[in-house]
Amino acid sequence: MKIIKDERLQMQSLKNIRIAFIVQTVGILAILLYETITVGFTQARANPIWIVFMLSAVVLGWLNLRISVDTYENTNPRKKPAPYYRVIMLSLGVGIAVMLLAVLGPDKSSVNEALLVGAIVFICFLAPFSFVHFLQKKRTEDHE
Amino acid sequence: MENNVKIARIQVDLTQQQLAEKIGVTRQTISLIEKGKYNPSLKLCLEICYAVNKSLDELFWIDQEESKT
Repeated sequence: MKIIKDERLQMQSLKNIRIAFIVQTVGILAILLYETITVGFTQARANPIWIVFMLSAVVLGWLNLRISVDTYENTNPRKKPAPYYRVIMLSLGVGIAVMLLAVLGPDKSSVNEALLVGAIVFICFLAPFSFVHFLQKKRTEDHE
Repeated sequence: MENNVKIARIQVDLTQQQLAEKIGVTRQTISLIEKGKYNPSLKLCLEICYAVNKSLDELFWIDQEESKT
């Protein structure tokens, strides 16, 4: 297959991929919905196709963060991003809250399990917030 | 969008195919640009300008009033 160098055709091919992606996503959702109806949600979630669906949603979400930062900047007055320690404090706060909930809540998890859950939630909050923070910081520097 | 690509191309005695090969696009793209049905990127506009020895102004400039009509 020849590599397409024509920008018009490259754009057209990207549009085609978008349509294929829509078809694929609708197909995956249809399969998952069918499984949910026939064998139940827990069984449907055990299907590897569920992981594929979640993974593509996560990748799309990550890639769209850049777009969100740019649109957010345009709709809100430009201001310097909050200092980075606040991002860490916020993530740590949520992590500790979830950890406490795991220990004291109805689950009554062991300390080790609660630590693990808290650490995962901490990382899950820290990663995207840090990414957005540094993106905003870079944008502010570019603007100056 | 209207432009002078076709006139400039004929002036340097190039066919659509030859111009397309020179700048590495397909003939259809050149045809669509000449008809004003495809909006090329600035990079492609410059490539066309270099190929026909004209400036961007000469090939693509249109007055604001004209572009609104």
